[in-house]
Amino acid sequence: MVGWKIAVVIGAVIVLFCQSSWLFTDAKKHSRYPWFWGLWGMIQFPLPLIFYLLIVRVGWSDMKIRKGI
Amino acid sequence: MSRREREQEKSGERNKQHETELQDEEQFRQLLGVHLEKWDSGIEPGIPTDEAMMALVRGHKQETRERFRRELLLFWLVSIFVLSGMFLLWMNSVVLFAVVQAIAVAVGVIVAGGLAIAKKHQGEGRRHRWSGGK
Repeated sequence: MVGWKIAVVIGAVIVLFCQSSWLFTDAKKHSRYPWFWGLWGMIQFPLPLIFYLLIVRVGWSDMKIRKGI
Repeated sequence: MSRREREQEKSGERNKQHETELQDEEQFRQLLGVHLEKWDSGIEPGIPTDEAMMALVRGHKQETRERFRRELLLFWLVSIFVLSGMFLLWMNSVVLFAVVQAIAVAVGVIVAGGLAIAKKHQGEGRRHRWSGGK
């Protein structure tokens, strides 16, 4: 019982660490707020990643402008 | 005077004029050449060599890389504290952990939404400025 808990914790730490590192590094190149994305990515998964991809990378708000919405 | 003679006379005059100009240029260079060169070198900056430019670029890249590495290390340090805090919170009180997570979601969504709106307004502003509002 304790074993799987430890595995879950370690897995979560790895996932969160990788997510936040990637968000921070990528946001350094494409966004003005890398610390915000990195820290949010450190706390949660996968909402920060989804929002980052939609807002910064895909430019969802820009797409709406281009389509005339 | 025949046409040929007239043409020969004209070309002779042109040659004389050209020689005079060359002599004048030579005299000018002898009188003022050294001073003009000094003046030019004082006004014009030296053109950097290719090696100097490449060294400048390499140095700047190196500096940027080192600055990024330092910031990434600082971020990892802060992340360790944040993760440890979240882990301790989870161990002590799952309810409090859930509340903190909910607040983090709300704050994150609001800030991200604000960023998206700010980006949208910036985009519109840019279009109006450079493309005449089309």
